[in-house]
Amino acid sequence: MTLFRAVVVLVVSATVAVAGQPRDLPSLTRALDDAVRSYDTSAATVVLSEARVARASADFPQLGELHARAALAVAELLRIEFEGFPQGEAERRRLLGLRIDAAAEEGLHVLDGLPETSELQRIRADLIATMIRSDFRAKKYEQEFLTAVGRALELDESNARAWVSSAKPYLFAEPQQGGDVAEALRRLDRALELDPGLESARLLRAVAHDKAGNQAAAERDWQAALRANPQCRPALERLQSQP
Amino acid sequence: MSWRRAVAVALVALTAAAAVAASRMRVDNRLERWVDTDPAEAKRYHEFREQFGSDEFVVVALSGVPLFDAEVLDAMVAAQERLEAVPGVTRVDSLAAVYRDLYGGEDPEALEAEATSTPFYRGLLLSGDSKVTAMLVEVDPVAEPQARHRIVSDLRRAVAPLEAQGFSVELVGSTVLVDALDELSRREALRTFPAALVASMLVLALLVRSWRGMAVAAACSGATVLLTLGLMEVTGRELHMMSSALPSLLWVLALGNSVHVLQRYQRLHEQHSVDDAVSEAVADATLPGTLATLTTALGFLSLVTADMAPVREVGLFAALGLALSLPVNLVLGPELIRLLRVPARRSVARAGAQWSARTVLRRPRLVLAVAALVTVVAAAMIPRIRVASNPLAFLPSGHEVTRAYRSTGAKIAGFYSLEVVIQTDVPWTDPRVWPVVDGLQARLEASPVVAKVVSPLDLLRKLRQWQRGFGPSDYALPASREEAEDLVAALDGRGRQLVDRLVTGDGRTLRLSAIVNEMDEGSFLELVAATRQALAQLPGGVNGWVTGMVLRLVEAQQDLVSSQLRSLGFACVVIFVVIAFGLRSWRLGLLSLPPNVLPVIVIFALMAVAGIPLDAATVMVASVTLGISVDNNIHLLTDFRRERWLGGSRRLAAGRAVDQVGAAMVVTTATTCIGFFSLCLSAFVPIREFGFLVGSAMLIGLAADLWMGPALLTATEDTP
Repeated sequence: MTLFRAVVVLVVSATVAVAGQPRDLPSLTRALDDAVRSYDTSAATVVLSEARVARASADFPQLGELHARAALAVAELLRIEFEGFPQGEAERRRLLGLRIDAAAEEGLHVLDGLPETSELQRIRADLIATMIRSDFRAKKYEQEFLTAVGRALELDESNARAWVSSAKPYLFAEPQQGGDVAEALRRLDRALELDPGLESARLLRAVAHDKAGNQAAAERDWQAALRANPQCRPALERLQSQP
Repeated sequence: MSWRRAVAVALVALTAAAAVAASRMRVDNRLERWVDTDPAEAKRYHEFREQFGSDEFVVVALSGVPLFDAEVLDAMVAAQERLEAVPGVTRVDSLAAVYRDLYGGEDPEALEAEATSTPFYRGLLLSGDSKVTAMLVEVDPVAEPQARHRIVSDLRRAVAPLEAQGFSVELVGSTVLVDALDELSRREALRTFPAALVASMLVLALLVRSWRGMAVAAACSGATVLLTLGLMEVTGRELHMMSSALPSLLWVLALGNSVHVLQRYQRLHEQHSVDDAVSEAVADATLPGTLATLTTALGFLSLVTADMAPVREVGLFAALGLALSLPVNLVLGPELIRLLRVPARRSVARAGAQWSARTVLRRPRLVLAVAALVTVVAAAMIPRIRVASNPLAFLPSGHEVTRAYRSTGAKIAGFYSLEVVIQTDVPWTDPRVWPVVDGLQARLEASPVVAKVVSPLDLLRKLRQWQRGFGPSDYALPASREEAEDLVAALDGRGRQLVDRLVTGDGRTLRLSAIVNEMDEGSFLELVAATRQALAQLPGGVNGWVTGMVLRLVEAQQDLVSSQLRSLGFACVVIFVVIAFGLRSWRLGLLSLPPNVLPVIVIFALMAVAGIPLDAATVMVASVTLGISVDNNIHLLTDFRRERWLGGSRRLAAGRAVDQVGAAMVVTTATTCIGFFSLCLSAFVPIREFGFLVGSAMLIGLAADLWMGPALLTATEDTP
């Protein structure tokens, strides 16, 4: 047992002694889903910490997957904060970027030890996507991202989330760099066919419609996302900002 | 009321109106005013500007902090955004922009690798030792006199917070230099010109021994200046770098004639009443005054054939001003003398002039031999004169901008650009074009005054590196035209903007910007000549030319110097013709030339020895010298001819002529000399040099007129 592992077990034991029993896997999964649904970064960070601690004492694939998902949730929620941050606040933005990278790298590290599945490859792709915040990083990570997305769809063509991930490069890249809003829409439509309640697909399709100049369709998707999840922060902010 | 009094009253009224108009006069020192000499060059430059944008930039050099620290880069990005917001700034290239746009304000280590792993940024945005970075601020000032000053002030404000954060900040570039020159010249003109004026008026009062006499001379000169400025204002003219010299120029030239009238009057008033003395003084001074004014005015009028509009303006208004000085000095001046009852006083200068004449007339041939020797020695030195200047040397060595130029020039970027435009039959993405462009770039970079050449091919190399994942080994030209075209086609808006600044839309016209880090015009002109030679050797299907704002300014200055020298040659011919016709003696015409030409030759020699270059400011010295010398010389010749006509011997006539006008010559020279030498206290080098040279020229001119003139008249035959 490494010294680090011993320290973690000690800390967990102390935490348990003070706060009672740690949450089990279903509780943690529910807590993570709630955090994601409510766009609550702090709650997601707590789940990530607990998953980290739990894995230190008992490592099994389901817990690993939860750990990776929690890392992705934290990275994506921080990424949403990052996008909303004013450009002038360079230092705080950069620190936020470092936190995103830390969460994403933790998730990727966890995935390295897990068996390959479509969903885990999709999580890998999305973790990488959170780190792509500049042209430089796009070049640095694009191949890794595309490989992971391709592999996710190769392993399971019905993975709706993987279709959402595959739409991202088409949606966010400049046309000269391979950006193609129509293709992004096609992929997001496919994702929604497979899982009509998938919030991320709905939100990205709203963005895609927006980019394509189809404001009415975008509005419909923002509204639908908000109906499905009244706490959907991007939809709320978007609809509130409209006159 | 006599007609003279009526004219005098009218002149006073006109002067009052002119003073009101002159007070509204605007100053416009914009560089653009100087660059319309060659229409073909101007057209090329305008085409260049339309195709590629402005070539004027300010370099903000930053050092004193670890450049690739995240916090340092954040501060630079903030400064970048403040600079971009400055009105008149069209673009800011910097590592901060790369950090922000390509790296999203993150990954400073990656930026450091990007900046240091290839030669792309070296010498331009990053110094060789990575301790200095430059922000290249491209500016496009609006067509308004204060635009550059406003831009420089705004830029300084935008980078000021960096200094508070520990950065060492320096601004260089033609915009900054022009603003500093403008600012200092204004300040120094305000400080030194009034002092020079007061000093020369005090000397005048002392020499003519009369405050009222001094007031008359000052009023005549002042009226001439105001009338001329008023005329300029009502005809829609503005003061610019060259016409700013007109007031002092006209003051000096007008003063000469008014002092001659005054001195004649004072001498005559010893034995005659005020009215008689005034009438006789005017009668005596009318012919020489008219001839002198005509000669100088025609000399200046020859400038209207110059290519540059500012030079044409100066020529025209100097001639008009001199024409106006004639009625002022011959009508208004005498009426003022009458009105103020200027007392008769024996000028202290008269005794000196008489002693001088006696000495010279005893050994005229010796005087001529010495004069010939001085002329030969001085003429031999003239080829050593530099015709190129260094505008940076116009500022004192301790000036903030001079210091910035010195410390920045050696480390990073440069101060301005020489723009090379290349046209090809095939698009720039065709590999056949690349060796030609690279070859030309290498030749330009071989020049010691070129810090860096910005080439579209370097951009292509960089695009390839970025496209392939930022690896330094991928910084190379594409393997084929197709790959190059794919790289260009993949560019987003920002990338497209970068390419558009170096290549036209059809891809067949390319721009190479040679960033020059040397302010000496001579070195720059050598670079221009070498580049033109290289362009002449381009292979078939490719041709090119050089252009750029600084090139046009330097060539305009060269044109200015040559047009002034042409005008000087013309003035010599005019002197001969006017004197020959005016005094009806071609021999007197010929005899007038040596005393007038000698000071010009000696002053050029003095410039060669003192290392003062012949430039837009100093070339005016010769005209002023000639103007004053001619005035004195004509007065002397006129009186000499009259004395000869009355029957005196040559020696007697020459002695009497010196007795009559010598004092006025000494007074005029001493008065203006003191004024000009006072300018030597100025911190603005051109003012200082101008004051020193004109002051010296006046003394040499006086010596030539007082010694060489009588010596020539007595040592040769004449036919009055």
